[in-house]
Amino acid sequence: MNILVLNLLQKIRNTINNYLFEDKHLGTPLFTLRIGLGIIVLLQLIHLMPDAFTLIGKNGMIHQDIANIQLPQNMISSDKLVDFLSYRFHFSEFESLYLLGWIYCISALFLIVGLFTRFSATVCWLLHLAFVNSGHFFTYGVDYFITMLLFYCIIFPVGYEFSVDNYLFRYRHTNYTPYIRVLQIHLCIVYFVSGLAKTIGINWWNGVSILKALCRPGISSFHIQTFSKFSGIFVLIGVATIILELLYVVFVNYGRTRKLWLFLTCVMHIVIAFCLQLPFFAAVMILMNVCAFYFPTRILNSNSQNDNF
Amino acid sequence: MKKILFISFLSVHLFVILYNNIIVEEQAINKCLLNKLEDGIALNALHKSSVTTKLFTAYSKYTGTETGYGFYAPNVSSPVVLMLTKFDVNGRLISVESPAFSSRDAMVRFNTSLDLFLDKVQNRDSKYNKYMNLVLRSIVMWTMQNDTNCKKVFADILIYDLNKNSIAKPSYLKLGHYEYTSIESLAKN
Repeated sequence: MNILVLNLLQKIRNTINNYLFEDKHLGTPLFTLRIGLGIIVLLQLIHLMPDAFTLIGKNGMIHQDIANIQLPQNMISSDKLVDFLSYRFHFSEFESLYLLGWIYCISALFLIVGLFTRFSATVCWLLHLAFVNSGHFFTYGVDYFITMLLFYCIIFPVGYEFSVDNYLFRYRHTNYTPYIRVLQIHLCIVYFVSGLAKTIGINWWNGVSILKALCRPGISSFHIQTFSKFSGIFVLIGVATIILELLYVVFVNYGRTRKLWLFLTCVMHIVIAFCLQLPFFAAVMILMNVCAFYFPTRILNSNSQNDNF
Repeated sequence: MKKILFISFLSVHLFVILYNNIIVEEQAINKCLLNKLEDGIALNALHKSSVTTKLFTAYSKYTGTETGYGFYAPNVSSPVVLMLTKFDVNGRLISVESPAFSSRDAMVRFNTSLDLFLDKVQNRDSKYNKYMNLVLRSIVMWTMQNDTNCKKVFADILIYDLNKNSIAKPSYLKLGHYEYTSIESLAKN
């Protein structure tokens, strides 16, 4: 009995070991993540720049004194950084936010080219958090995903290939599999939970959720009366979304259906980008999907080990 | 050693992601199926120890794992619209409009934030209601600052009512009406 249990435990251990640490992934997904994320961060900054003071300014749409009530004391915020800069260097709010914006921009550029990658990712992550916390009333899904991916850029060896760092420091080969597995597991949780949550709501089964998502005054202005004639299609789209998300974990991990499921998921995000006006969210999700599942793995030889980790 | 560190990190990280999602999903089930606005067992269990709560919250916030992944679920909520009616010092109507932004993303962010007012209607907690009143007042003050002629504002919170029966003819329902007058205007009157 004991031997059976020990054998089973050994088998489980080997399976986990092989799944997490078998050196079969190339570095391509991780440098794609680094470059893609840096570009998205930069584009988002440029896009939101004209409204920066409205969203996170001390006298913005929601005063920082009011916004800070809901913010835990140990959290970094751009308001605290502005206070620090004005106290130490007598900078005005405009100068401080301008300076922070430039540092954020430069750190994103450094991240893209892979110069002092971990340090740039840390600066970018902290400033992103600071901006998001100051404007926490105006946050949505994309901000959490960018925070999480920047955090991954600090931990993962994203600067080991196609980077200035590699040119300067000549990194040795490393095992990328464990890091890519983290991305894969995280994505599977994201879609499974999202699909599961949608199954609870009746509106995803009768198409009303799709209609409501498409017809949001002030964001998208599709003609509701025209849409109402095709309610059958919305039922189909609603059910298809649930199936796509709920079964993502199964089909994306199965070799033969991986590319198809990845394609369908990316199509869903492109539709979201155009119809729900969420291009940054779509870009982040597509980037994550591509980095986690698109790139082929290395063909292993018989004595391939997981010693590099 | 590196493997042990990695597995420890992965275990903690996945636990935080899953636990945050359990909290959100439990609250969604309570709200959607049982019609109850409660914190839920998962959140209450976390709040039992203040040290655990602080550590958990800090880790979740700093790593971006604090969110639940039930996007647009269980149901897509009806959009909330904030309509501001602006008047000058003599009480003449200037405009009726929603706050405007330069970028599309800022507009999306603002519209998403308005869902908090839906919580205000459903939430009977007076502290939360007072807080949301403060938020609304801040938005109105910002409107007055950006339009120097504007001395009085009526803020109407509307909901775009769209359900299975009203698809062909949706309507706006008024959730709340608030009036704000600047000190100058009050002094004049």
